[in-house]
Amino acid sequence: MGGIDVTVTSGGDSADLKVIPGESTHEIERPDGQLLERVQGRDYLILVSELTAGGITLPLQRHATVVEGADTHKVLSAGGDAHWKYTDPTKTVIRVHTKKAS
Amino acid sequence: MSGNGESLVDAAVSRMNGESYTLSFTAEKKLFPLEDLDATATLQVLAWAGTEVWIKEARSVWSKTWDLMVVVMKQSDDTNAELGPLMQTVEDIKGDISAQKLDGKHCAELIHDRPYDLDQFNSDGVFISIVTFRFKGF
Repeated sequence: MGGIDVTVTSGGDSADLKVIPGESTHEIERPDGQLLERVQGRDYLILVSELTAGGITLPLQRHATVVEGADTHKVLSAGGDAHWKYTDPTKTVIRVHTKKAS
Repeated sequence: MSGNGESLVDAAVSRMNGESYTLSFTAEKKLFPLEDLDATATLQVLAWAGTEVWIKEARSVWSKTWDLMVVVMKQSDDTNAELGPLMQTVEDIKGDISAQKLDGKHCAELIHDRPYDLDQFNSDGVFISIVTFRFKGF
């Protein structure tokens, strides 16, 4: 499987995985029209079999982390969408929404 | 004669950085309040100048109002142990700054809509609490 190397940590369990990076977004949000917050979002496609083989069970926890290189991304909802979801009816692949946390 | 909104921000930042609150931080003046989410891995306390209102009371006499905005921001998990000290730090700042005369101006009003922005917390996992201190003078 192609993709990029990341470390996923959820619920105290960590696994080194190959994942497919998905959409990246850069948003400016205005919590109440006073403060501007710049957020970098990034999605990942992950094979469920790879995830579970690495010892990570679903559901993936909110605030789980995906470390890609020097960047840590937190698993968080995006635009009202759940923080992770299956992408197919056979539940083979999940899409994970993250935001760059450090 | 008191100064402008920026000098009020300077005075507030100086005051906060000279005091001890529940959580430690270095407050920063930010006249253009834009912050990256990843910067909030550490506690951020930012201050900037808000609305300024002049009301003419008599010939050559203006009563003036300056809003001082203070935001406390930090990434946080959904636990009382994480959120409690952040909320208490906001309360510390409210209690301290509201009692001060800064840059020749008295704090006459304080506006704090909610303990923190729950929508933003759900969306970005970041605690954001904005307090408006309204200072008055002539």
